[in-house]
Amino acid sequence: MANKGFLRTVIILGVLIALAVPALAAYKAHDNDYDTDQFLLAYPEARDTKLDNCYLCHTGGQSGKNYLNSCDWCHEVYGLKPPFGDIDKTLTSYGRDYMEAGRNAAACLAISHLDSDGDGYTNGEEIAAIRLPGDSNDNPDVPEAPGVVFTRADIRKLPRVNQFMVLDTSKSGDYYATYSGVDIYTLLQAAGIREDAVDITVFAADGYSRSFSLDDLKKSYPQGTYETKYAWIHFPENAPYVDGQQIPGELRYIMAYEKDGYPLLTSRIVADSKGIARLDGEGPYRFVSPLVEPVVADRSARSIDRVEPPYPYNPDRSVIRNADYCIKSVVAIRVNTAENKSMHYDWTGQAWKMIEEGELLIYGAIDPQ
Amino acid sequence: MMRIHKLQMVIVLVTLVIAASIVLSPLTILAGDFTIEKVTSTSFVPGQEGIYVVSLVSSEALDLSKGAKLVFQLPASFGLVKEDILAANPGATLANIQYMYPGDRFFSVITGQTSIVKTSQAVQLHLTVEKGDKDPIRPNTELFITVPGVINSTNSGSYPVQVSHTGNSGETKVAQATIRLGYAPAQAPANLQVRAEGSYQFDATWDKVPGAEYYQLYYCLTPDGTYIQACDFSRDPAPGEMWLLPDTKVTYRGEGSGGILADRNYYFKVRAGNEYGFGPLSPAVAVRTPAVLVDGILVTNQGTIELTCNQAVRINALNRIEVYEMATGLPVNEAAEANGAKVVLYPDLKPGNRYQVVLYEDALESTARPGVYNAVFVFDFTAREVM
Repeated sequence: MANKGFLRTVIILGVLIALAVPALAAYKAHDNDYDTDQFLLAYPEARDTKLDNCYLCHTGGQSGKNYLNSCDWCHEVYGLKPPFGDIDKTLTSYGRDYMEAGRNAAACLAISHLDSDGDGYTNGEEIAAIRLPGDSNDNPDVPEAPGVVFTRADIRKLPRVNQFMVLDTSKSGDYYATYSGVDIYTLLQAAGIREDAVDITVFAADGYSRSFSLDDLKKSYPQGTYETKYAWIHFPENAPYVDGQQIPGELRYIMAYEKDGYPLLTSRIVADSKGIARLDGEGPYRFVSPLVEPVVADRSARSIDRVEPPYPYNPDRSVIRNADYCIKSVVAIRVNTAENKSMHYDWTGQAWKMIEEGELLIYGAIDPQ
Repeated sequence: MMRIHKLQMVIVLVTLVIAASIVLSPLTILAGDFTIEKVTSTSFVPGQEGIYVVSLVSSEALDLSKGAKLVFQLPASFGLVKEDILAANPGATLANIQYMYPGDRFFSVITGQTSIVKTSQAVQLHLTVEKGDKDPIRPNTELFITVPGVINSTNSGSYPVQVSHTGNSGETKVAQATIRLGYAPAQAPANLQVRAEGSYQFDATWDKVPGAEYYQLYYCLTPDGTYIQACDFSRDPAPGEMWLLPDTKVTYRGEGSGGILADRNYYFKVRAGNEYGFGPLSPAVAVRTPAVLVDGILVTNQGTIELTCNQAVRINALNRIEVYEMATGLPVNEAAEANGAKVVLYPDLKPGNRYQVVLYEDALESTARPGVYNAVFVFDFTAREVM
């Protein structure tokens, strides 16, 4: 008999051990994570803290009316593929000092006496206190922001939203599903969101993060049509719609805990057949973004006939593919003001425990009741 | 003296000819340093629509920064489709230029504003670079110019293709090539047979078609839908890359485009091709992927849950077997074991509460047919008051 309690312990231990291995540590979006590795060589105690992330050296930025966090800002300014833009525009003051000092582990130590962000604390002091040395909003003087932890039961007590929708992906195949959960803005209200809040940053257990404006989260979006004729879109055999039918209702941003009527599979990091670490599962919580316009999901970037009509893959499509903005294994939401995108709440090392426990942290610009 | 005079005359004449050619065509350099290496298309069949890819090399650095212009030209008997970028067939709107430097992981993609110009002599696609490379493209870099939405001339034969490039300096380079239109195999392959080898793999065979050089296998989730090629890459294909099967069989594992689902109907078609394009698709063949199915479920007085499957199984992934308390979403399963076709779960149940058993996909694998897994199975029940 396979014992699940024992298995869970093994999984947690496995995850903890895996987190000690660079390949499975905090979110690694790129093949070359040279710089985070250099930082961790200089400061091994910072592993698996918020400093073990791109935003140590890369800042976010304003794109039109939306604030983009470091991932999206870098993708917009520098780009995902060549020809690349100006990387300097994505760097924090600490990132610039690191570059100028030689961009290696020795450079991290060499700039420890500097105060890159000018907040009165040296980089070394800030790193020791797990504060961002390139962000003056985050320093050892700044008190911990208020936070609320929601359990599985807490979230299920909030009004439930069910939405049948298409998940339009870039690479991995599109599909229709019914996601159930709580409207994001309702969830933020339950956490006591303040009036000066303007956007949120959603964090996954593996360190991935993305920002969303409150204006967008408050809106409803038109449903699209149900399409069964396109081989690249998976659909349920028992859906109550026929091909081409307009799906009734509107779509919202939701924090989903169920898909097609059953809980989301608890996420974990596994090695795939090539030995590359990947996230398995979506849950217990997935941030689900709607398609903001009712377009037909296009072909996969990886299909051999991706450029053929109908609906060829178009990397420059103006309507973003919503699945790329759906975030699996969500553990925290930081509520930001216009001035402060880095409010501190110490959940270092807790992410995978939160996944196992089904906890969701909301912190930042909130007044919990 | 005389001979020197003649030589001077020759030099003067040659200089005049060169000067005249520069005056007559001041900024045009004809071929040589700007060459079309190859033109491919998804179809060179008369009257059909194709996606053309021109492979082009410049021996000098090439300006593809914002404002640079590229013109792709075909004879007037050809056509070009160009629709809104969100249309089902945007056609030439999606024209682009791609290249890859040694050591790069991805192709660089240069896009811009497109327009179509038709004259009595030619049809042209004009692409003015918007998202370009601020640095000149390195000499001898292979450029791939993709032009979707080309409607071939209705007659077979040879036709000229021309590409011209005008950088922001105003210098224009022109390259030409010839394409041939002809006919694809007229027959669809007969005797297509597709077997599901496990939940996530198909093996397909078909008969040869006379004159065919290669084949392509297509699939869809509905018999009358838009079929796509059953090609496993799990990577971005290169510009103009095509799937050409020289043999009359293939194995498809469904990677790269969403994957295959267990316990699901799939429809397959095959077509034969040659250097000009592809012939008609064969009639569809239906196959359902096999799966481990749960035939029965029993919640015992002892509070265990017994699942009876349609075949002997082993537990493939214990984390994919769960029992949830429905009011709270709390997972309560402690253990599970498989014995033959029976799977027993050991949850911590509270009498009177509602629960949900979930077998996520791939939780169980057939022992008789390795590679056959379960699809998602869900069952709700209320725990008895007395257990």
